[in-house]
Amino acid sequence: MQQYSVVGKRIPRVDGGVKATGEAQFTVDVVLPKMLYGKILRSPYPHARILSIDTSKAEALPGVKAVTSGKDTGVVRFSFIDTPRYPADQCPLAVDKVRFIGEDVAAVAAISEDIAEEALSLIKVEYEELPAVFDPEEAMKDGAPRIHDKIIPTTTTAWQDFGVIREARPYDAVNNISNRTLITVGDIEQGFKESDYVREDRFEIPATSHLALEPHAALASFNPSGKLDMWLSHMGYEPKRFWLAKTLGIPISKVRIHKTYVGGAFGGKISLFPYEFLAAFLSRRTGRPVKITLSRSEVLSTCYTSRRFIINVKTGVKKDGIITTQQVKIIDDVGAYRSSSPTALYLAHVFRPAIYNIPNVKHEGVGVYTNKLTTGPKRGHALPQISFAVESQLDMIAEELRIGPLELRLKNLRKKGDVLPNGDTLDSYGLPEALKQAAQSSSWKQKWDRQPKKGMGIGTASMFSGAHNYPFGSAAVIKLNPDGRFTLFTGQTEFGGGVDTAMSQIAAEELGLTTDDIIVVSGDSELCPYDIGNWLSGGIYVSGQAVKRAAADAKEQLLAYAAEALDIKADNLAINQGRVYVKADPGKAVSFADLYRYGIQIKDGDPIIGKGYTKVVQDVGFWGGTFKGLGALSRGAGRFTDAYSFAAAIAEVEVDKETGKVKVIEITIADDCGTDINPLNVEGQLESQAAMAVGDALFEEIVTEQGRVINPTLADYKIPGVLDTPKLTTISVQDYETKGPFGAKEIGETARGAAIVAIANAICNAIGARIYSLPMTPEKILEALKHSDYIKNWPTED
Amino acid sequence: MKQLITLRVNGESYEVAVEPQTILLDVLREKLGLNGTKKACDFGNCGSCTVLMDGKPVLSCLILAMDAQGKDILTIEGMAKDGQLHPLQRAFIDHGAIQCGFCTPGMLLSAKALLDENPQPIAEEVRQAISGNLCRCTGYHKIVEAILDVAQSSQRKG
Amino acid sequence: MATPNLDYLPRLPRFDYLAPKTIKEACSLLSKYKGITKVIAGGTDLLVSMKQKKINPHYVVNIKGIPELDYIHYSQESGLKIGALATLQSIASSPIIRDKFGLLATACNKIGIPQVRNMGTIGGNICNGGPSQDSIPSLLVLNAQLKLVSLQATRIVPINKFFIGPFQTALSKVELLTEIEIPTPPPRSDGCYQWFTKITEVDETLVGVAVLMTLDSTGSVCKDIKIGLCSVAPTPIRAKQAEQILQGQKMGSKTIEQAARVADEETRPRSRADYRRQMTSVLVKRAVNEVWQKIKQTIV
Repeated sequence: MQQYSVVGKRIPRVDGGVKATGEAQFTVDVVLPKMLYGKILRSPYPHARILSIDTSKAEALPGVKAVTSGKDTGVVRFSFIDTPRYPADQCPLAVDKVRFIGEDVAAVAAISEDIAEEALSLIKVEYEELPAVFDPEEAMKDGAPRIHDKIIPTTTTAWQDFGVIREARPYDAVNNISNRTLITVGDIEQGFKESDYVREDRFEIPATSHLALEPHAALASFNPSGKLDMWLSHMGYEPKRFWLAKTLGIPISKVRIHKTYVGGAFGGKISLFPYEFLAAFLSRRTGRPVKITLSRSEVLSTCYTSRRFIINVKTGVKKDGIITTQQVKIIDDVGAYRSSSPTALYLAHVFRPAIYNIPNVKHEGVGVYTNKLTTGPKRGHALPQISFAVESQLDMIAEELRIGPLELRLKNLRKKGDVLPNGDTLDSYGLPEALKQAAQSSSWKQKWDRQPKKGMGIGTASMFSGAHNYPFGSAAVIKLNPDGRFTLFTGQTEFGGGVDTAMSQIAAEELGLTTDDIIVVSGDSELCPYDIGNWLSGGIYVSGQAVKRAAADAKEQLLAYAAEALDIKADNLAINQGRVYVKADPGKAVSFADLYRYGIQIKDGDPIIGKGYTKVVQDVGFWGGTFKGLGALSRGAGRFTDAYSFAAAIAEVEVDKETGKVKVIEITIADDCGTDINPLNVEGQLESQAAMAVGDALFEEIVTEQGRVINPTLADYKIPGVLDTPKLTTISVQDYETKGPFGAKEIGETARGAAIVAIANAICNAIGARIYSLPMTPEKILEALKHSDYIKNWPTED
Repeated sequence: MKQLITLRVNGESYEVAVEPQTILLDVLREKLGLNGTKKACDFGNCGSCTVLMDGKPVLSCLILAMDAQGKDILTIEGMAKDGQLHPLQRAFIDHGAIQCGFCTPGMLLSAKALLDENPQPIAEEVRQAISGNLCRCTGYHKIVEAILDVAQSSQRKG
Repeated sequence: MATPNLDYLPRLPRFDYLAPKTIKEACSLLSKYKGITKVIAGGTDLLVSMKQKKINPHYVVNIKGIPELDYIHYSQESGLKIGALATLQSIASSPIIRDKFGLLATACNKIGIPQVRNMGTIGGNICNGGPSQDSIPSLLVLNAQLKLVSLQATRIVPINKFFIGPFQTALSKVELLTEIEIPTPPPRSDGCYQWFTKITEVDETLVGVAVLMTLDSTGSVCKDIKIGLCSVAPTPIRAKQAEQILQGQKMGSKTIEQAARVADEETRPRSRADYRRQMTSVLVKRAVNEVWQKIKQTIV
């Protein structure tokens, strides 16, 4: 393990001070002169035609400055995924129909929140209720209510705008199918024939909320010159800018997203939301800033949740435990709009090959529209769901084959250097080590199936480090200041992960400085270069690399000028603590401040600015109709990512069989994120995911009845509090990734998927029965206990 | 009907015009510019709006501004003194107990109230004291660690 | 075309605010504005209901400015007297209540979160009248009496006559609850409050069970037992049939289990009914056992 001066150190967060004093400004805190408040009127019906909207009384209310509805905003479509094959299906305000309870129907901007709300109550909407469908398997049947008419794109789709030269096609959601995925590797028929044991199981994972503490909020200020300034609670400004520019019909260079701290995101604040469009639209209409802050109830009942999957897994193994074949079928209950379904169905497959070497795979996914709120990515985006299904089944296979769960997994793991079917290579692969260390730390062999009332469970997971999605790369700029310190410009978004700190550590390490010497300017689209953001698992690996290269570029310039100034060849120079010195004669040196002056005075005014950039996946790209290395999401072909991160989790639980209540005793997570840029932050991410997993495994669920979210408040939707969080042990195995900045790769999403199924497996181990859905509530556990088929003598793990 | 009331916040007196239904949290954020206290649920379930009233943690989203008259209110902005961070603030930063920062003001004030009353709590008492402050980011471990560290440091100083 | 449903926006409606300084003043306001007034103490229940648009009073009367309503007094003869404005936290941490009426302290310490316990009052918890108020089972088994004051009269209502239906109490529109009186339990008595929450550790109560038991001088016969339940019926209730199983009987695990089974039949839960019934049995069994063990230890 390499030793660094700044990277790998437990440096307190650079933004810790402002957050500890309450000075840190979040979008909900920003106030502008003459600001108006926006509120949204929402559909009370899951499926209805809009016959008429009368906003006249609302418009006449004193203090109301603008009212808008779908006939005003028009058919401007947007979506998380907008491709020639799957064109965008959502409009900011419902135009002809509403498709879920809570859909945005009209909006008001007024001088106070009270008046805006009162105005909403004066808007008269006439609906014609239509039959609705809530179950995806019902929705797919012939005769089910049709939720979407044929979509005929009226503009280019996003991917055409990105440069893909393909015609957008109309999309007809026959049988309410929103999208399909089919990925095949090898020959599953043959594979099943050759298997000694085949089992098939069905799993269901519900929607859960991200529950970031800062509510969704947007502030827009449209300048008469046509410039749009926005403050958003988000995860990366590029997708927001793209969609705001497109839906508002303004040039992207005139859309500025300002930096604000973000109060948590977890995947729930990525793509364009109606309220963001509406804030900008109403600001343009009124000529005044407009702020829209959603209530907690609106966030829980109308913002996209995590994805609802029904997963069928059929797996064939040899009697020695080697997995030969796996067939996966997923029904993605997308809700009223498609959102990220094509991506999710692809990810549900592509997260798995890096873990186990299964030669024959068929992966089919189908997105299905239903009249419920939309779903989208949440911390792992399909990883937790598919891990729950596959890893639960693995334990059942282990039981059948009389092989211990740990041993079964170790047998099937890949090896470092493996090339995956899609061409990705596992240059770093810390999973075996992670699994072993987690097992050792948690005393797996001693405890597994030896303790009455208690259970142990394992989960493994993998995650990519960025993929080829807009904006396809990151850049960073670093400029030298007169005092020898540097200002770093990076588009990274700080919503809790510690990226401001990590980026400053990377730059500092490269330049031989401390983080105090790096001033980070981040998250402002006007000041910072383009950036992959922090929602595509590429913050550290991609943007960190861009930052490292920018710092390296500046270093090269410093060395070149120092060589001149000292009259020594650059090879004989080294950098440390803000000085460039002669290696053979360290007393002979120039400071960075000196070199700043040198550049100005002697090199025609050159202030020394470093530029760095990197593409997300090096070997892929497209230009002028040709594609390099890329395939289609729906077929899973082509390169996915340049580096995978891994996590192994082990949970120990105790189940009270009288009440069905679960006490999670300990969660152990061993994670491979390459080098820990900041161990304090890495621990924070692992502890965070373990705590979140408790909620996912035991009680979190957005519950709908006839399309209505019946638990849209924090009184009814619970997240783990401190008293629900068990003992947490985190281990970082750090398998150095040579392609990553100082060996680092993704951190922050992998462990959640592993931890959820570890807890689930532990519960099933404790009760001797299998539960096939999440969350594992006390009632489900008591029910499962009634049908327990407990095998009294599980094989020991020696 | 608007009424002029006086509120004492962080040792300073403020005169504000409020209506009966005006909530203390909104007064702090919108009229006094004290944005550190946060609104995350508005129904008293998350603790992000926690302030100290006469030294005790309370939920400002469920207090009428009119009812806050005559009380000493402490918000996060009043926790540092003369530019010096409170030991708890310092500990939170050093221990990595802050991630997105949204729960942090309420969390710090609940911790401060605990240590003011019970300078050397055991771990279970710390957890009980912050049981009404939700955090989605940290998993609470480093928060509990930071608070215990301050408690143990004050014991060492004795 | 009905007025749009805006229950996803938690705005407080407008009202007039009054702050009386004496009990008499408070009562005259309740009389003067009979039926269009709500009393606010801690505010944690009332303001939540108002934000949910379930309650919309013309007047809100803040009684926290009446100092003579906040006290905890105890004497052996008169028993415990708690002013309606005593906060849940003051009850939870009161040494005398923890010592002699421990189940009430436990119950008050369970309610809400620390912040809510600093704000919420025992009077508010009682007058909210909901099926899930944690303090009530303890008050039921402790035979609490409530002092209700109006301009016209003062009356004492035993707590087991106070709850009429969900959020409906015997408190009239012109009355103010001022005091809760609790007699000292007889010797060889003890009690406890146990509960399960709905989901997380800190959460509303799913089932709450309070037990107050008195043993005879041998410590083996149940001289008297009272079992109070909350969250399992439209109002908090006493499990009288379960009590009868144990009353006057020799204590033993079989009898306790029998009583626990009977208790679950006395419940009328609305949601998660089967689970609540099962959990009522479990908790009654555990609570009675806990109290039995505690009293036995004091009788040596």
